Amino acid sequence: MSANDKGITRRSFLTGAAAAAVGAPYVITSAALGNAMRPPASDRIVMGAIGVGGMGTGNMRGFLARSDVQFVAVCDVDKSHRDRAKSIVDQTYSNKDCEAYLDFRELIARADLDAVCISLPDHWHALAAVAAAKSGLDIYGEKPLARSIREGRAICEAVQRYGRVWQTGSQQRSGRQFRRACELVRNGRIGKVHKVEVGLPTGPSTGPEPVMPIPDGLDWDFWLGPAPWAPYTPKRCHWNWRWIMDYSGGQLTDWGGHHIDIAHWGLGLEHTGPVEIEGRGHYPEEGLWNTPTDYKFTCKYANGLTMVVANNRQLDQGTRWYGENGRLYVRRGSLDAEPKSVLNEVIGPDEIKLYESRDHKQNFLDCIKSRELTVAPVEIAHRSISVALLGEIAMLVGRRIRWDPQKEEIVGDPSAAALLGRPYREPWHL
Amino acid sequence: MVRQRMLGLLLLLVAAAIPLAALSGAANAGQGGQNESLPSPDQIQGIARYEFGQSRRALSAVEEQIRQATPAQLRAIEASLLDVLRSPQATYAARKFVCRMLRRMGSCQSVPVLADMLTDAKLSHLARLALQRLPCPEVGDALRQALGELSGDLRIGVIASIGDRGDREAVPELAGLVSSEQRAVSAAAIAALGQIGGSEAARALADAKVPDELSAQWADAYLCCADQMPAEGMPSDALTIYRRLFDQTRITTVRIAALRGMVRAEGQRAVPTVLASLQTDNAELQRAAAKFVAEIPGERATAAFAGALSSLPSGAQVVLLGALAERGDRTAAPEIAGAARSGDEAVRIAAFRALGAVGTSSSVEALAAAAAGGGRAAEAASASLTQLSADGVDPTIVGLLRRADENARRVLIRALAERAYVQGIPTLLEYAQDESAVTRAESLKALARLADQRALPALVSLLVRAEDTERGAAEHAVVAVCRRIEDGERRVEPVLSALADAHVRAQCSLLRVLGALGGQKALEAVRSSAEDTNQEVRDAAVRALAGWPDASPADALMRLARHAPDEIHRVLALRGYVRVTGLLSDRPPEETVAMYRTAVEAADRPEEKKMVLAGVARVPDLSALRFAESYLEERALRAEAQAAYVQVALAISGAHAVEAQKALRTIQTVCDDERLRERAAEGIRAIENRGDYIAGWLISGPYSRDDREAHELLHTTFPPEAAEAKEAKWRLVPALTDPARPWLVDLERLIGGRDRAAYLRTRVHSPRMQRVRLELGSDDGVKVWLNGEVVHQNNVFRPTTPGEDKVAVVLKEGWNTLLLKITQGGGQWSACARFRALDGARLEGLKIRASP
Repeated sequence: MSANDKGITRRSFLTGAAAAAVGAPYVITSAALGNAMRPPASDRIVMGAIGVGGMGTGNMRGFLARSDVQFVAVCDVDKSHRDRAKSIVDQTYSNKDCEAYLDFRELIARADLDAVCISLPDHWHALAAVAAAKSGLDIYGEKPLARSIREGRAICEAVQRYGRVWQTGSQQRSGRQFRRACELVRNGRIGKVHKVEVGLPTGPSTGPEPVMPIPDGLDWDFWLGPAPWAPYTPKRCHWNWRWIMDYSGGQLTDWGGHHIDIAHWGLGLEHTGPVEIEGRGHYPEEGLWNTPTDYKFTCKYANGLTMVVANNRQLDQGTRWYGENGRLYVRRGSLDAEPKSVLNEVIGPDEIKLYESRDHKQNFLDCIKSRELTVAPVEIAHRSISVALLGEIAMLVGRRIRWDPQKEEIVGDPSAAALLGRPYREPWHL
Repeated sequence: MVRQRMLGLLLLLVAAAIPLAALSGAANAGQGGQNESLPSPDQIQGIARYEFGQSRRALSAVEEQIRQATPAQLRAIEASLLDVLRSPQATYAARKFVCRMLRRMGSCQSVPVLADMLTDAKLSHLARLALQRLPCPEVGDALRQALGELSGDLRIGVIASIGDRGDREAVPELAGLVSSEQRAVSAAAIAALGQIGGSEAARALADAKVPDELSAQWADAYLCCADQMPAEGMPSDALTIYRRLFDQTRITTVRIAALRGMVRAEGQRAVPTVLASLQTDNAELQRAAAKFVAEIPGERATAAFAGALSSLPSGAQVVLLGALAERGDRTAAPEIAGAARSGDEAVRIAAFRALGAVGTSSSVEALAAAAAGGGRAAEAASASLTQLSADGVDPTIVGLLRRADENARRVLIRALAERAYVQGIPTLLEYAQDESAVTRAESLKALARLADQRALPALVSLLVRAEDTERGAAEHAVVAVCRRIEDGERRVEPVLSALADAHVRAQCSLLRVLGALGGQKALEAVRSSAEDTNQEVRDAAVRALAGWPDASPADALMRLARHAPDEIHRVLALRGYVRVTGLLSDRPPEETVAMYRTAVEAADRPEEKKMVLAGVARVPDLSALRFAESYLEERALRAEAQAAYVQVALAISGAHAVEAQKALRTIQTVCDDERLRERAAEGIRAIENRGDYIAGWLISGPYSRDDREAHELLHTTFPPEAAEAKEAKWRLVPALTDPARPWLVDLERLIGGRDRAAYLRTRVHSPRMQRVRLELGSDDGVKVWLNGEVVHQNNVFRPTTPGEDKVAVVLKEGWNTLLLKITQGGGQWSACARFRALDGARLEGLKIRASP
């Protein structure tokens, strides 16, 4: 975006600020007016990226490729990440206009933004998402929604209170096969479902990792943010944070946002949760990483349904529903059923048709314009990841816990209930 | 049991911090009744001394004991852990572990010890971690007391903990802090009051005087209070707050939130407020109000909103029409149809859009009339014609066709195509022969989208009889239908059978169709037409061959380039030959270069020779470098040859570093183009920066299995790892896929995708048999074969860190084959590798050759 466009962004148009600017001496460039391939600046969605590591850069590239998006800002606490992201944006637009920020609060404070893409480590999700929602921004947020159930609820409240559009990065919802599987289950093609199994990847382990000097350009204290202080070592930081409980819940929460989400979608349980959870995890005994490698827990729902979640050494990866008339199994690249004839079933015009999105990022952009709910809205993401987070708690305390999905409270077990939230390291607070 | 009682007794005796030595004493009390479900003295000492970077084994054991413990055992373990906290010698890492455990299982006995830590700058957060949600009334007292003693960040942390606990006793103190001169403290107090909620907190916020920069946070906290009030039996208090914020705040997002509060609290009674918001000149608030129009349920609300439609200013009508569409309540259709006759274009457009959502078959005529007009209203009406979902819409459209004028008929035919109304194909075939050219053209377009194999003979016959001006549309329709037929050879049959008897113009059309479709039978027919006696037919055939979708007519094109009687045909054929040579294919790169050599030898003019050089530039092979080199001195082609030379040199610099560097240096001395010289210099720098990382690789892949994800693919056998490996196709990896990281093979950029694997292969020449270290980085999993033996595998999801995996291997004297398999789960996909001496020193004397 060139300086000349800045007077007429979509946001200033919407709040009437553009009208106030009429008469100001600015030149409308061809970039601002758009062309046959590209809508004018006033119709483009102005975006910033918060967190531009591997996943964040991938997300940003996905948005950059779209003609109705204008990227103006990137943010990361690691200089090498933000420099790389800025150069990708600048190369795309053949200019040097993309601003690079270390502090996400400065990016969010920009008056010209419509939306942000948040791809941070899990322990940062709630702080960034709540701040963005309060600033009136629409949000594409990576899964899992949050590191804890209370943080997830705080994100839901902020997004809903301020009427923001939210898309969770659980792109399986925009996959034809997953929607097809869920429609078959929802419309009773395998009969009444009594059990669903969810298989997720097995967690990795590592050795004890020596404390290392903080690399140049990385603001380590900011990276830790609300998490307890700990010294730097590479296996604690980029990418690997997901194997340490201070920052993430491991494969369980990384993938639970996908396959548990699909299990719920097929059963219409997206606005509730289990009532009892019990299970065991195997935790690495020695090395730095402490999220479970093997894990298995069972959830009971109020309607009598059982959901079993386990790593892929114990259950096939993906989602398998067991109904009174058959089974249905879905994962990336595979849809299978018993009997096979289920796969040829046609969903009639008067039956349940699930939300159809064929392109996860475009669905977000379309909903920014229409203000409609996306295919993976915040409340549903919260309920999906809540199952994984409850499983995590049950395994950590080593006993069965009871859950009130209405009030979102653990019943009769204050010690387990203490794990529903995470006290932030000062000075961070929601 | 004896042991637990003694521990409890001991705890009572412990008053303050005890030194580390005493820890063993405490635990010694249990000796004689050794119980594996409780931590031993050694374990406790191990925890107290634990430092970051050490093995966590002692910690993990206690963690497991906690999971297995009975309630009574938990209290004993808690006591031991508190001893660690009391010990001045315990490390920070130990205290962090203990606080994490206490958070999980602490009781009121932990409160005094943790409360003492609240004022310690390093430990305050750890204390809150354990303390914040302990179910003890003493926690509230401890936090409130600390609040008065602390300042700065530590105070903010305690405020946040109080807020999270919803401690209403703290409201007066927090209310005092709202006016703190420290903005961050003030902001934290405001947020905490919002979290705590209740009428007292709300009152404190109502009376607060906050600076402008905190007004959004203040409003957010105030809204939080209001949102909690209906559940606490104070709905009217909530409404008062919403009303105050809605009326008095200038921040749009806050006003939207307040309006949402009013709608939720009042339901249908909020209709007038929502209507008033629709009339504001703030488009963001308007759009939010429209959202709430959709959220207030019931036909009465529909009637109220629809009834108000005509009395609103046009801007508000536009937004409301959008909202009525979202309500999806067809009872609003009459008012929307009225708005479709508005004098304001924007209102008409919005009304046409809304009719798409809630209209019926009776809306078709008005929409068709509008769609036949011009401008944006026509676009909206046209889109709604497609969208209409009520029963009987399609037959109504077909019925209307009979009495519609030419313009309206065009619109209706387009709507049938967009609506995918395949039952309308016979009607469309009929209109494709209409006397109106406009109707014929539109029908052909619709048929191109809808028609199937059954309609193909009729369409081909239409093509044969078409007027010259309509040939393009008819050809397009036939090609589109043929492409939908899976059997590549059978789909051209109706076209081929028409070719024999067609007149010249029709023959030319059919040849163009065959050229677009390709295939063996089509090629035979077009090749023989290229020798037809009729000049027009020959021309069409040559052009069809030159535009062929693959390289199968290469030989025919070369023959024509050399021997066609017409010079234009010779040039067209030569250009076609160069074009098809450059299309994606499996042929080895040196064969492609040989084809380009044939082309350049057949070319008389520099224009075609330049095209050849542009093609050669895209072949990453040593033979392409040599080819470009041979034209560096030729004056007319020098610029193109130099550009090709640089491009090829950069691409092969991994496999042929010496040749590439030599070529790039040559360019630096002979080239006049500054930008090209700079590219060459950049390439030389990158080759140097690469160090001893292997850059010469052949690549094979991607490989995937429908039902397998990345972690399973590492153990799935694909052709490159099979003993024969004959099925695998290898190509050279262009070097420098990421100039900033020249040591990296960026597979995401080369291949992309997820849940797949790729193989990298190279050959390494060692001057002697030696034990060396293979240093690897991979994103994601990696499996390594050296001379056919698996020497390493790591099934992980991770980013590439150079040298993360280090494997000792033996290189034999002479050539060794190194094969890597890299899996891709998602996100980035890359790898890097090098050989080093066992002590990490650089190895001299190794040679790398990527070529097979």
